[in-house]
Amino acid sequence: MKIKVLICLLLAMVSLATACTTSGPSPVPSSPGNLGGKKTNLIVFEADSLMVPFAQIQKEFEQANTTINVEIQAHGSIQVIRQVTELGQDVDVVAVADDSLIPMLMYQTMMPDGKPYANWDIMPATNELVLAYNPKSKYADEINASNWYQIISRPDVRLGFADPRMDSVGYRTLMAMKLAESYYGVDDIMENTIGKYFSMPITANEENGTSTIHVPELLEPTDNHMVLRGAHMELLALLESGDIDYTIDYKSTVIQDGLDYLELPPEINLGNVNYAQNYQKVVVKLDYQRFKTVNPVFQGLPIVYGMTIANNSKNKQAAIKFIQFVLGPEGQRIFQDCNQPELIPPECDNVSALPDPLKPLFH
Amino acid sequence: MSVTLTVVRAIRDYLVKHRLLIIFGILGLLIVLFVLIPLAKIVFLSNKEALLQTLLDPTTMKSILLTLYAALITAVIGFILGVPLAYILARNTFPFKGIVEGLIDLPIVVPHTAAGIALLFVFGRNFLLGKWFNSIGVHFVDSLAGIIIAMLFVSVPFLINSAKDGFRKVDVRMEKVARTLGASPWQVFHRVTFPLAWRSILAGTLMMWARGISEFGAVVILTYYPMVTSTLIYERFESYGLTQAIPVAAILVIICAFIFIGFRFLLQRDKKHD
Repeated sequence: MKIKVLICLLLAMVSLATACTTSGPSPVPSSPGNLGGKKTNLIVFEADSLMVPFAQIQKEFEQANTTINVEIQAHGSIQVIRQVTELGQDVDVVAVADDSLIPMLMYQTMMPDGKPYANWDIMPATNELVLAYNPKSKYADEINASNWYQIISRPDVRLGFADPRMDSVGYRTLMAMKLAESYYGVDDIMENTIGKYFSMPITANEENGTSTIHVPELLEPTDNHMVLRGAHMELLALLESGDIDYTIDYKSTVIQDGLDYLELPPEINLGNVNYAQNYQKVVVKLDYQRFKTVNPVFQGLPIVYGMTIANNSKNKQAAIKFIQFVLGPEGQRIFQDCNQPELIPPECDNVSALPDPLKPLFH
Repeated sequence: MSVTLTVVRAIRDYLVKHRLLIIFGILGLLIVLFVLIPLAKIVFLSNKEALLQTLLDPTTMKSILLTLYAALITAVIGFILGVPLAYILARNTFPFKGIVEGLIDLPIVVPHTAAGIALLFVFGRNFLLGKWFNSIGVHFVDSLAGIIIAMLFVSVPFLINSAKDGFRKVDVRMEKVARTLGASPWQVFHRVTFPLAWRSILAGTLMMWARGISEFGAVVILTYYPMVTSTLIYERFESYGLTQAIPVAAILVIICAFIFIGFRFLLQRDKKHD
């Protein structure tokens, strides 16, 4: 009888647990476990737009360094950093799709010992925004470089939009829409394609030639026109299934997914350093206190990836080897194979703080 | 002296006699604590003020109600479609039955993001079922229907397996006796088999409901808005941080605890009346 009571108690607990635990986002599968027992586990947190090239880099790097086992986790870029600075996850290499996030969120956040999480930022790669679509998307047969912004503002078109509070594609999409206004000489493209389709609209104001886009605290779509997702990679799946017609995304991931796309003019695609001054005319501001210490303001800049080794990394030597590999001929070949444009030559914001073996790469 | 000895001996005898219960009890306790402590931590991490604020926050409450409601509809659909299958699996043998049973278990092991993408590629607008539903105005992206199919896919195995076990425990001879007394197969099912198996079926339905409430991976692919609680927790965490996400999780845990412990309690009490 007591056992019965015990079993019932257990059952109740189990059902409760099943009911109430929420599963987090499924992690990207990492490489097979460490069977030899003596391998170093190198933990790499990457922006999800790097998934394809980094998977290949992981494979070839492990072949070249048989004592190192690379474990990759992919998230939206902001999430990548928050996993480190807020959740205290062990990480060695951080690679994000916006190089400015590393100074903004890692230099300014202190580890328990009072030192910042990072103090240098290597820029290995670039990208550009394109308008991705499916051959079956509404009006796909008539879209071109001069009417695309009109088509994606039509209410019967379903536009996928990555949440600008979480995903770098999201705030960069807003920047591109705002830049399109001055490029095409048409007002309110940002509002008409995206901004007005939320219960609290995304708005913009101009001051001294700079447009500031305000993202409200709550982003709830009011209409079927707008399909919001936390990560741009989910939008590409919706594009393939025909549940959205268009979305703005990085050219490399769109090509890797085999989707159709329309190139956007370099004045607005954030992919051309020659237009850096033009890009700086837009700023995206989150209208609420988001992190404990930092209130992110995203400055319009050419898309440049950032990479660093966390100061609390336990495997600095392996991490250095990994970065050498990414920046070396193998890494560059893999980037090219995966249509991930590299930054030639790679740059670094603080060469003097680099670990010595990495310094010769920046002269 | 002899009194102490007697007490020691009595304790020893008791321990020896109940050895199994004690060992199992300790093992059981460990796993109960393993489940209980993290849940308690979620509840007690957030201060009363934050909990109250979250409780009064219409977005959170709307989301929790939506989640309970969607999972309930899912459980009802699972009940209507799953119980007949469970009965067939419990009572009949047919070719490839093992394959069907294995297939039913698959949603439990498939990573849920993959399940969401798989559903999207069936119920998406460009694909067969999605196209057909689209023609009658039902969409599965950013809609209640999307939440329900995602929950149904990942949770229906719990109901089918539990109901199947329930039906198996019903003695076939009772059904045969009822048949010889002139009952039709339908009458046998609803007068004899179902009432005897209902406890397992109900437990399975509850499990399914519970599993639906907790689902995140598959739902978030299909439907971001309207926002179920697991997505809300994810969104709060992603955009504000742990301090904003935890009270939502805590409220969900508390509500679920009431519902599910309550149901177990009712089931137990009912058993005593049988």
